[in-house]
Amino acid sequence: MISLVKKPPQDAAPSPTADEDPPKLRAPSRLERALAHHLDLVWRVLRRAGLTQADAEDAAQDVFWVFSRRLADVPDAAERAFLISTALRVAADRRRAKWYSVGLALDFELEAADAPLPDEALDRRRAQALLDGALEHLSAAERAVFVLTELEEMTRPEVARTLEISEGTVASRLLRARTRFHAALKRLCARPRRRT
Amino acid sequence: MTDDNTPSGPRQALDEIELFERLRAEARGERAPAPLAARILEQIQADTRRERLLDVPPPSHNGRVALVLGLSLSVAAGVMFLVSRPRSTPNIAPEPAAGGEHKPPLARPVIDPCSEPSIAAGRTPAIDDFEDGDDAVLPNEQRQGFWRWARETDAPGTAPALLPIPRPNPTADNRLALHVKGPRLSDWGATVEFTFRPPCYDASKYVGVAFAARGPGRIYVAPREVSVIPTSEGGTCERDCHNPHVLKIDLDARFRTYEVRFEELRQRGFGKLPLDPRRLNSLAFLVRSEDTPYDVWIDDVRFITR
Repeated sequence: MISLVKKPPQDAAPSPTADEDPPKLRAPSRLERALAHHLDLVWRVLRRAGLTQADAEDAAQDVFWVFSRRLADVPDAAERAFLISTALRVAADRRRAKWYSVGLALDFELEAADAPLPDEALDRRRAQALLDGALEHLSAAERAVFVLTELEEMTRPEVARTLEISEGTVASRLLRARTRFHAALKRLCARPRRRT
Repeated sequence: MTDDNTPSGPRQALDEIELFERLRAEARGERAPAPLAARILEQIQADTRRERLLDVPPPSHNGRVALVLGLSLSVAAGVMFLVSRPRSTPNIAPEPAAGGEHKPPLARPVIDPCSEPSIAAGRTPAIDDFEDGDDAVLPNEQRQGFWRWARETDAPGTAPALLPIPRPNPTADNRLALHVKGPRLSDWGATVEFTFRPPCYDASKYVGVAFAARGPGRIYVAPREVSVIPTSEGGTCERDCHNPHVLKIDLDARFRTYEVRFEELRQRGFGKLPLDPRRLNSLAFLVRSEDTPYDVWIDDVRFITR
């Protein structure tokens, strides 16, 4: 399942000569492949679900830990969906454990409101604060649909399969989410900003 | 898409689209921190090694089992010796990951609350009819617990007790019921629930749960196994918790009785096992945030006999 092959120390062995066999390359395990292919996606889902960077690091570890224990249950074709749905549950779980949704929403709003409007030199951190500030105005269910459809550009059938809901539910949640998101974005942009 | 205080029309709509496209591009461009993949892999491999060391292999594996067993027991004895040393002895802990908080070793023993469960005899199915007016479930078949109304907006540990109130259209035999009503919620929602005391109840003599309820709206019935409850709350779940077996119930505007068989309950995700009614931690009626605002009545909760 998980390769335990040790990497040689970086400064230990000299490079192979012509007489020696070249070092054998170990095929990456399924877990390593999943990390290589899906970690960024899992990371974005966790962050857009409202976790701080530090929380998202721990949560990402939890997601892949769960995956490593469920390898036999998860077909290759369903790997991405499994990781996304696990990420959403882990994020919800962490939010629930911390019960911090109200305080965090206020913090985000302040941070986003204090940020300057994005201009030609769009500042990444402030843009993300603005995005997350607007996302905070969505319910968890709307947010999941919005993030996967609008930000990750997954198709509606794919989102429906991932979230285990019908395509009609995806459509209706997306409609509500878009309305709320754009209204929140407009409010955040319209608020007077602090000059520094 | 218009606003009274700002210029309206196509230009503003264009600005909004442009802004959203930029935000989307930023979001799509976000990457996990560079060392995270290696750290995750290293941690999972360490956990796996630790679990393998602590697990005793089944005796029928192969001829090398005796050697492996001996080695495992030796290592386990060594680990136990280290664990049981006095507190003054410094612990050898893995170096905390940079940028993240230190996580304790993951193979710590989890106390199984089901080592001494309360067991239902299968002859007194009533869980609570609320006619006594208190928040305690009926003390039938060793059942103990108190109804609580937990909401995402409550501070931790402050979920209020839920007392029954006069129900609409009462009768002489049925005067009281539970009622919860609340505004729109945005995260995990709200629950009406009680936890069995002690926190593992064997209801395998029964085949499901029945209750009367009134909407409008929708609830999810969730007899929760100990395996979905975090260890910090008395369960056995360490990761991906709070994913109970549920069944969605569309409520009516008048009281109706619903019967939910354990076999009908489903957990979200791949390859999930059916509910094990021998290991119940609690019984909850969930209101998810997408079904809020909510206004739900619950009455006459009982198990279903075979």
